[in-house]
Amino acid sequence: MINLDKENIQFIENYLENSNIFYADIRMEMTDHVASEIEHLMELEGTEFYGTFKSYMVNNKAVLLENNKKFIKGADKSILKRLWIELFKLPTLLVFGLIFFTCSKWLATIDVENLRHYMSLFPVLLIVPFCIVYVFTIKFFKIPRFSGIERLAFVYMICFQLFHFVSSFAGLYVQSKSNFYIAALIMATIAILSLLIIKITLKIINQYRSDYKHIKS
Amino acid sequence: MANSKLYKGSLVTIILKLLNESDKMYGYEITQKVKALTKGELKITEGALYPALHKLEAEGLLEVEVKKVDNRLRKYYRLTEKGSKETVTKLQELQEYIMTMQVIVNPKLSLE
Repeated sequence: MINLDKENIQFIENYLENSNIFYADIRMEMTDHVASEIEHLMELEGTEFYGTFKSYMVNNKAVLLENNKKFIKGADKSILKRLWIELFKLPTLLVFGLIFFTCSKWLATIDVENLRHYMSLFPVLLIVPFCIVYVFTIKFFKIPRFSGIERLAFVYMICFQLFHFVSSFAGLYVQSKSNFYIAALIMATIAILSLLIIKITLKIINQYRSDYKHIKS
Repeated sequence: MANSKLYKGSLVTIILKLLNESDKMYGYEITQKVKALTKGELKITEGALYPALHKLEAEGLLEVEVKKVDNRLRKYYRLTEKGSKETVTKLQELQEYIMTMQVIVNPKLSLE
């Protein structure tokens, strides 16, 4: 049984990293797969490492890069699915109700003219806690680039653009106090989605910290 | 290899079945095991296998363990309790599918 040495493994890992497979979790699994296949081929054909690696990559590099895209797409889908599941849990609905009620009461105390400013500021206010949690935990725990964590930030940035657009549009659209419940509904939806993304961020970071404790940044 | 589209829908069942028979397995091991069991008839590509494994992991059917083996890190997959239950259901569904196909493809044989 042929086992590749540390230098060979590092060579494969560096090669994959230089081929834009930059997420540590995806690269780790790919490195093991490629190394296992190369060991198998070396044993079968009696060839040396570099020759086998070169011929393997000539035949499989395009497939590996395509797989990388599939893995990233899978990570995005998984995050959105988690968000969807969390959205319909009883505690989420209760918090949503509470935020909606609070927003309705608060909006009743402000002028129609001020609503536009508050609405456009609201998503910006909510991105701050996410950024603090995200940056602080990643820096504090020295977490490398994991697909689930980075794609989560990507998903939030997309959501933020959407929140900002909807919120600003609602601020312009709602012209009378009798329609303030629409503004409260939008605020509650944005707030609950932001809170859920923070909750999922912490869960994913914890999961990565426990599953991938061997990977150093 | 025979028509791979016919096997595509059974990939998850194949993964669950293999994991049900052993304590834990890693990606490459699964591909090799399938290749050996089917005498090379069925080759699971990494492009199909890993997304399926990650999906099962996200659904809570599999749990992972990362270990240092042979100078590198290896991600092992293991069935969770939910995964074991799902394996029974999936295998049952596959059996029913095979029986139904048998009735269509070879009606005489299925009547006997």
